Amino acid sequence: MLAASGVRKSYGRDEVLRGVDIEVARGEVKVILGASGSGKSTLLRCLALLEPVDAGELYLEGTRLGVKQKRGRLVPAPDRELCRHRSELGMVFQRFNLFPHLTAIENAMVGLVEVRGLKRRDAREQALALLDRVGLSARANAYPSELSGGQQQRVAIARALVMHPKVMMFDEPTSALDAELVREVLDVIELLADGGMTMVVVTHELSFARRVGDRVAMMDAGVLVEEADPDSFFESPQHKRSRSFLEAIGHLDTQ
Amino acid sequence: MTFDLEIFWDALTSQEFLDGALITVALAVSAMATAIVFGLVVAVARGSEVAAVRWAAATYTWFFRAVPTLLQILFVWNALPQLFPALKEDWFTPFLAGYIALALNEAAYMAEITRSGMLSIDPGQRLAARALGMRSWPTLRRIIIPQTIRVAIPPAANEFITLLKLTSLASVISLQELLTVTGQQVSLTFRFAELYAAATVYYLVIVSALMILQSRLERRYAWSSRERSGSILSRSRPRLRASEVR
Repeated sequence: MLAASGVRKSYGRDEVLRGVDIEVARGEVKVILGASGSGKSTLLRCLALLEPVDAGELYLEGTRLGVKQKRGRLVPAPDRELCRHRSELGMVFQRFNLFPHLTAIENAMVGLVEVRGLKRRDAREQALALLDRVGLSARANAYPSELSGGQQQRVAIARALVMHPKVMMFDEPTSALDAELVREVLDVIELLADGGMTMVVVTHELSFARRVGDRVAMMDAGVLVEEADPDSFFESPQHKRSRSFLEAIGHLDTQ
Repeated sequence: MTFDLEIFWDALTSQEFLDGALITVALAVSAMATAIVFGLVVAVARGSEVAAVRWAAATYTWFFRAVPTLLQILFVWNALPQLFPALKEDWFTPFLAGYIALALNEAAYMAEITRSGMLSIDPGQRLAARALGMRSWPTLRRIIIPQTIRVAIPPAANEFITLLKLTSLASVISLQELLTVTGQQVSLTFRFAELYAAATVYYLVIVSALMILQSRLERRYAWSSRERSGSILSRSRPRLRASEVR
């Protein structure tokens, strides 16, 4: 479904991604782990077409993203096409990034109205259904400032889902939440995974990763150092970086 | 001589003062409206991908803030007709000249206010809009501008008040605005206290009306049902956010 090869990305002199290859199959839940600065969030943003890559290729369902053929040469894809692909790649941010001047339902609707061109009535219907799915239909008319962190993140998930994305990406979705609010968001994500959504999740919630993930990938210093199924990864990590990471979190071979 | 209430009242209710005040308000409102729109265009242009557009916008704000407003008014009224004889016709009135000069001048200041409002918006907002696949114009229209407006209301109201008083500069091109009229009456009767007091009352009324409008506008842009319905009393008590309670 989603594939990347040889991805390189630098910010100035800082090389954050040094040649990453990754593949996500349809319906797969890929969890990406890594320490701060390992490049995992940057990788996710590149996959979501939110950051341009310096080198490497990205593919969605076999179509090359970000470039197009023009008279036998490869040129950067036009903005229109990039935006279309972006709308097919759902993204949920660590800090929610809800639109504060719109209510929950308006946040969920805005993508349908402005990107897909739906009439407001139809958009509202679909948005309400999604809010219901994440358990927030009762708070549809609340503004983000009136919602708890967990509720805001669930609205953010609904906002991304309403676009019927091919892949959902989560960038540390629960890292900004108080402990007791983490559960409600993870439950929603798990529900999505059970429903067969293709997902890439960057997270620190290791027990969640082990339970819900299909594959776990470890990032370190801009490179993907190891990838395995959750049980193998957590029980016998192969790469020394994976081992030191799990040790540092205090998670080696427990849950 | 002491303060003569009758003279004060006659001046306050006179047709001359009323007309002068109306011209003042009309000039300020029309110039401000144009300046807000044009200032927004310039502010967006400052962030353009095209270097020439960025440069043009920066040059505009540099030039029109540097040149004194009085000079700009004089230039439009006196110098432009010298350069473009078509403007020597009757339709080129002092009001029109004043409007052009003040609008262009104020737009430069509004551009900076708007730009600072846009800078204050969390970058995550544009990121989230992009992630949904929204293109530049819809993002600007539905996400950036509404949030910019909220931040820009207080400084913009400030600018309007300043502009209202800058209209008196148009007296040099013989526009019959409020202060010009006041001066004319004073030169006839020399009742300084009463006439100045009458002019002051007009300015106070106009600015007070603006402040009420500003308050209404700010409430409309407070994105929370509680702040919207709150009375003055309830707004002075500190309010807990939902996330702090749960």
